[in-house]
Amino acid sequence: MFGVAIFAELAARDFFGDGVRSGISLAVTALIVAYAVMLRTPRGGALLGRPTRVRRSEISPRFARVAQMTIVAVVLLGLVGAPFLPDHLFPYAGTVAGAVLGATLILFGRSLQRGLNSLAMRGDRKDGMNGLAHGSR
Amino acid sequence: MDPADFDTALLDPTRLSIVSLLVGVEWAEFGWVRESVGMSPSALSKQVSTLETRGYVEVKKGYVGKRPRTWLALTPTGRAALERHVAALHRVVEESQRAAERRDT
Repeated sequence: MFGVAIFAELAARDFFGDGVRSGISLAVTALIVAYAVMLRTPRGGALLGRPTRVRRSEISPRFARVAQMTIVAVVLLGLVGAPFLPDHLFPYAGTVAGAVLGATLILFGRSLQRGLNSLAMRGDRKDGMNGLAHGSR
Repeated sequence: MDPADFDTALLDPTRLSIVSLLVGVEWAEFGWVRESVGMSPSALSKQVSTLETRGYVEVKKGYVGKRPRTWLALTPTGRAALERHVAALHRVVEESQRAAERRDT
């Protein structure tokens, strides 16, 4: 779903002009918020094909810090770098970028997620429960 | 080693597996737990009932579309029981290691 959303967001300007971009961005933001809210409930998680929700305390603090810093860095790069980018690198650049990013997410999204999950679970627990939790999928 | 340190419900390996799986998650679908511990639905249901009776596991039932689903979650009581049980196991290992070291010296 996010692969298609990213493709739609990046390709929209090439096909419909700059006018639709804010609408598409709003729709993608709404989709991300809905996804995050659904993941918090068992029913929503089941609808999204998630049989579990990992306990926050099981996520390695180091991993959480690195993930937060990466997100902030990407957002800052987007905000600071966007004005310096030429409007069109080449014809249909947005469509090509959207297709590459979207296809990457569709094809490797699951394995990327699994890899991130296993990294996130490698915590250094100090309460004697080390190695007990292996509930992410 | 005081035998009272061990939780009798968690001495059973399948119940220990179920509780150990649930300690890392806020909730888990019954089907996911069943696959993870490699049990039949009826066998898992029986063990979950035992854990539920002791207040270690909370069972929620509901529907997703028309399909019935069951979710399991570890209660704070269950988490505390597991922590005590694991601590008792650690103590057994440590005491055995100390005894072995005393024999060697």
